[in-house]
Amino acid sequence: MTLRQRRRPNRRPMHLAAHFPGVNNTTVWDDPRSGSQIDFASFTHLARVAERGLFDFFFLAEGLRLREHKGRVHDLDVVGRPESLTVLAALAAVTERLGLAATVSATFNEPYELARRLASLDHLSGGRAAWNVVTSSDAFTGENFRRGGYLEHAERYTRAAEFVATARELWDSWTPEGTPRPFAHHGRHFSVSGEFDVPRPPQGHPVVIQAGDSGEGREFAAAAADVVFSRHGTLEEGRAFYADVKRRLAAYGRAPTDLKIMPGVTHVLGDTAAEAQERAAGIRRRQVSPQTALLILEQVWGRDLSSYDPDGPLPRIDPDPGAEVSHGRVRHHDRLAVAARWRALSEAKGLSIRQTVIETTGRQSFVGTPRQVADEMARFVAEEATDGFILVPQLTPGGLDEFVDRVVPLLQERGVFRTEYTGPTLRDHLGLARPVAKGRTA
Amino acid sequence: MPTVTTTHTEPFHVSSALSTLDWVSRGRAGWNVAVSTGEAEARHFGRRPAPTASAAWREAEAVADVVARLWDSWEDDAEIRDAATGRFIDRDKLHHVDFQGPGFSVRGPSIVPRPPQGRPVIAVEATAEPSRETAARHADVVFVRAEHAGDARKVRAVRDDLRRRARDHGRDVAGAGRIVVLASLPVALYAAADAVALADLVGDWYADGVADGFHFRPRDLDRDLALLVDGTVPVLQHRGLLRAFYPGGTLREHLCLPRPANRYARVKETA
Repeated sequence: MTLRQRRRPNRRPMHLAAHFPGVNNTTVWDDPRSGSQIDFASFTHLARVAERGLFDFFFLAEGLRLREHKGRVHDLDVVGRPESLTVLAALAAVTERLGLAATVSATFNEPYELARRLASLDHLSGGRAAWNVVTSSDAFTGENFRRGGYLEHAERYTRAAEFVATARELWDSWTPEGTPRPFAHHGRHFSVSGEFDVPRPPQGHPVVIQAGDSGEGREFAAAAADVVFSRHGTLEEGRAFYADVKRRLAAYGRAPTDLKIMPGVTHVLGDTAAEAQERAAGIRRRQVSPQTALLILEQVWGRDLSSYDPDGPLPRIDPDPGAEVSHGRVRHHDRLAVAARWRALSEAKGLSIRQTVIETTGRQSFVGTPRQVADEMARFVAEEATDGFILVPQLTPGGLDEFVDRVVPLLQERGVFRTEYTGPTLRDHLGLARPVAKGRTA
Repeated sequence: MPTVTTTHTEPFHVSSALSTLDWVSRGRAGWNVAVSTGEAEARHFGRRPAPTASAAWREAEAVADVVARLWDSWEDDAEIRDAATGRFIDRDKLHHVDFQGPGFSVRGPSIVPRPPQGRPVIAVEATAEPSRETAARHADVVFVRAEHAGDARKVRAVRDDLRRRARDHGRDVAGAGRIVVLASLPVALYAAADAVALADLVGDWYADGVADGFHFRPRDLDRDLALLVDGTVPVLQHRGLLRAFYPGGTLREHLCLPRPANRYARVKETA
C-alpha cells in the first residue's frame, strides 16, 4: 500500500514557516558549520532555502534589550541581531513568494509609524508582509526607550489590541481609488488623527501573528490575529491548545479556518532512528555547555552558584524564590517546585547538574528519519494539534537545508503540503481572505 | 541614505534600523537627520505638541549623539565564539551608553553588533541656522541648499561657518573629523547643452572651494535623470572630477571618510 492511498479527502494543508535561529541556547554556535548571526548572507541563505521548500513565511524575532545575568550582559548564547523590518525589506528583493514576518513590539512603538513601515514592506514585497505583535511590560527593556518603563500587565493587551485596531484603521483609510482620506482615532491608549501617507497594502492588511499564551493572549488572538505562534509542541498539549483557541473564534464571528495555529518546533534527522537520536543527544550536549548548565541552574535557584561543579550533584541549599538573577528572558514560575522535580530526577537517575539540565530543558520536537518526521508532522495536523509549524533551526544558516531536501518531498508525496505556490501573497499561502476595508462601499 | 526624523521616533529603534541597513548593504548606509515641526505630524503620533525648530534641533543633536554611541556600544572584536569557556562574546567589549538626553534616556548597549562602517554616515541639511549646530557636531555630510548659480557665496559662507564651529567643538576637520559639504542644487535639464552647462557650474564651484561635492534635486526624474547620468557625468569624468569606478565598497569610502575609531574601546596598553 502506498502512502498516497491512505490520503483522506478532507485533509487540511500543512503550513510551514522558517524561524531564523535565535539568541537562546537552542542555537548551537560552536559547531564548525555555524555561520554569522548578523551577515545578510545568512538571512539570504535561510530565506532562499525556505522559499525553495515552498514555506509560507520566514520569521524574525525581536530584541530590544540584551539579556543580562547577575547584572552583566549574558555571554553564553548568540548575542546580537538586526532590526527585523529592515532585514525583511532587503529580503523582499531576493525572494519572490516567501512571506516575510517581523516581530515588533506594540509597547515600544507608535501606530502611525509602525503601520507605515508594515504597509511599506507589504508594497515592497508585493503582499508578503506579516507582523508578529508582541507586548512587553518590563522596566528593564523600557530603559532603552523614551516611552520608558512600565505598563501594568493587564494594560499590555489592551494597548496591543488598540494598537492593531488603529493600524487597521490607517491601512483602511485610503479609498479603493487610491486617495487618502482623513483618519481619527481617539482611544484609551492612542489619540491620533490626520492623513495616512502610504496607499492601502496589497494584502489589505499585512498578516497579523500573535504569540502570547495567557488567557488574554489567546483571547487577543481569537479576536484579532491571523496566525498564532504557539509553544505547544507535543501532540496532547497541541490538541488542547488548538481546541481552546479555535473554540474562542465564534464569539468574534470568525470561522475556525480564519486563524492558523503554528507552534515553534525543532527537528533532528538521521538515516536511521538510532542515528537521529544520537545526533539529537549530541546537539543537546552542545546546547547545554557546562557554563550554560550552571546559568540555567542559577535562574531556577535565584542564587550565585558559580562555585558549583556542573559535573557534580545539585546544590543542597534551597532556591531563593524571591530573587531574580536574569533579565530579558522568560522566567521560571514556581521555582521551588521546579527545583524539587530536578532534585528528585537527579537522585533517581544519579544525574549531575549538567545532565539534569540536559534532561529537563528544551528537548527536540521531531527526531527521526525523514520518513518518521514527515509522518509525525502530518499526524499532528491530521489530529488537530496544529495547522502547521514554525521550524526553529539549531544551526545558522544551514539548519533547514536537510529538512527542505529530505522531509518536504515526503510531505508533498503524502499530499499534505503544497507542490507549488498558488498565489503571490502570504494571505494566499495561508488560505486567508483579504480583509474588506471597514466602512467602504466599493 | 534614508531621512529619519528624531522628533517622534525612538532613538534606540533609529539606531538599530540604521545599523541593520549598514549590515544588509555591507557598509553603504547613511542617515539624513531630520526633525518634525509640523502640527500635522505631531497629531499622527498624539504624544506631544509640535516643538519649535530650535527645540527640535536641540533634541536632534542629542539623538544623533546617542545613536552614534549605540553604534559604538559594541567593540568591533566583541564576538569571540570561545568554545573553551563557552562564551560567544567578550562582554567587557559591550558597553552601556547610559545616555541622558532632553526628555529621554537610553541604557544600551545596542542589540545590533557594530555596523561594518563603524558608524553609518550622518548627514544634516544645514542651510538655515537651527540645524547648524547639530551639523557642526555630528554630521559627516552636510547639505547646503542653493537655488541658482548666484548662490555660490552663500554656500561657501555656510561651509566656512560649519568648519569654524566644528573646530570650536574640537573637531579635527582637516583629518578624522572631516565634513563633506555638498551643495544641493535643483536640476532641470532639457538638452545635452544643459547637461554640459551643469558640469561647467559644478567644476567652477568645486575649483573655487564653494563645496566638496554636489547633491542634485531633479525636477522631473524621467526627463532629468538620463541627461544627468549620460550627459553631465561623462563630462565630469572626462575632466577628472568624478570617479570612473568605485574604488571602495562602503559609503564612507565613496566619500573619503575614515572608518571612525570606537570611543569605548580601551586604549591598548603599550607597556
